[in-house]
Amino acid sequence: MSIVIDNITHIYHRGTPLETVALSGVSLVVDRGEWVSVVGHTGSGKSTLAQHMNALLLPTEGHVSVDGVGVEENRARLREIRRKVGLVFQYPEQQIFEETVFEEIAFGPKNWGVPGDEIPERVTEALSLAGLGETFKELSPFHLSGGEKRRVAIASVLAVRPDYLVLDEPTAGLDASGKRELCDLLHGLKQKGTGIVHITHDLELAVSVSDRILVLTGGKSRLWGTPGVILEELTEREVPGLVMPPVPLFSGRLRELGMDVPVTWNAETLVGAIERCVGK
Amino acid sequence: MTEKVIVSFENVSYTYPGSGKFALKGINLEVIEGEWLAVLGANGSGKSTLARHFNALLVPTQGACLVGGSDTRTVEGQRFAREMAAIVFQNPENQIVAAIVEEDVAFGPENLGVPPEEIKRRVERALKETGLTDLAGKPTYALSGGQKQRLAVAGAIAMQPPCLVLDEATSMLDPSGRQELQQVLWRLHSEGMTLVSITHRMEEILRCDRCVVLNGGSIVWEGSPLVLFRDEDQRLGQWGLEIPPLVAVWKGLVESGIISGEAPPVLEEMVSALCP
Repeated sequence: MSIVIDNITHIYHRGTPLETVALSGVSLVVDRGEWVSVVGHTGSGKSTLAQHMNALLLPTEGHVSVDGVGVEENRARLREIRRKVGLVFQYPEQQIFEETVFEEIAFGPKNWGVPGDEIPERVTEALSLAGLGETFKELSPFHLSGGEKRRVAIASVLAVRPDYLVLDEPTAGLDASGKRELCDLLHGLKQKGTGIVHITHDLELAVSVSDRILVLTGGKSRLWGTPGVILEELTEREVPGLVMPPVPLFSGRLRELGMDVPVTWNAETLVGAIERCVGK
Repeated sequence: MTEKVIVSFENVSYTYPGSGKFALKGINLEVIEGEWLAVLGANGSGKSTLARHFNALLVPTQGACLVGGSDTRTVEGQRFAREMAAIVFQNPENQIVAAIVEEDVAFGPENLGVPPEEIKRRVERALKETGLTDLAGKPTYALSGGQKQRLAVAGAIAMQPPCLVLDEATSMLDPSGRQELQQVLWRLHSEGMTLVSITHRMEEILRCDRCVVLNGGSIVWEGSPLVLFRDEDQRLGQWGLEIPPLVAVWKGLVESGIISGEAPPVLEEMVSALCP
């Protein structure tokens, strides 16, 4: 049971002066119960890739399938695919429009034809998964904090009970505690068997939460593997368009200047290594 | 030389209509001409509400906000505040109005009734300041996120406001876009512009002169970024803030006595301190 992206290319405005190759020969597999992060700079093709996962976009070349159902040859089943793969856009709280949290979360299941008597149960379940209590139901979503609004927006996708959740920059604009809470929520969903696809430009965060990471630059797949593999690769060679986070960058600079410290992402490890070097 | 106060909050409180609770409570704050002030705080702490008082997009429910000495509760004060302070918001897409880069920069001064020759001069200067000169004739849709946000800054500084307020202006940018914008701000600051950065990204305040922390609509701490990082790490968590990883390294080295803690926790300074 997985989303399989097989060697896809996506070209916007094909055959016009605005023709742009957004993705070129990208492959990726996301299993249920797995957290995959897609990391890259602005314009690297991350969001284009995300929109292929629930067939909002279809590949110009290559193949996409969800749980064995090919997107191209099963256009009659696109609805089923879109129910299986929930897509949370960037700043999803900007799309909130209902007067109460209940109505906001109920909107998705109603649209998918879930019987009316089942809706309250779906809303309660989604609220609980998103870490929001029953007391939120009757509140106006517009009076909630930024982090709470984002949880409501995610709950409204969870109410459709997707098997995979694709989130485009879900932590953008959230403060440190909001970010931590959201990652805990996604981790909990992963443990329950949901496949998580996390689109981000935050390499440090991706390394700390993901099972596997795909690094995209200029629409091409540059690196693919576990966080350990990605870290090793990045410390050995520069990846165009990807900014190395400050701690490994700092340790790399010290090494260049002759200090015997490891290239590390961990602040504590680096401080310990520098202390040893200077005899403290 | 006496310091000139450019914006003054005098016991300012603000309540959004219909909400029944204070978004800002009893704010007393003076912004000095030429300083780079950071306003820190978690989501919902009142940062953006405070930002919107600088150019009178909001006016206090209680207390007074004086911009350039003029009270924003008056019509004249509001008009003056909009000349004194420009705001750059978080989403660059929402701030671009023209199809071509240089036309977008010209939009603000045109609206202020600036003569065409002067507009041309200001556009050239603003594009140069933000490193966009080579992109002057480009369509705005073709810019990257970082370039769009630099364009928003160019549009703001073309109006020649004495004070530039950045409300989470880097939150939608990738790391290289954030670096680009930080470099532009550093340059503007070194040329004497008053900057107010509203953010919860602690790595962006390293070069600021002073920071204030908002919590629940009130100022709970005020001082230099260095002191904040060195002495207040326990309370940062309570305020919904977090020390960035490189600052954690700096703090560890200061506590071990390896570096003095006098220089800011920025990479180049730390490398020089360790390998002079």
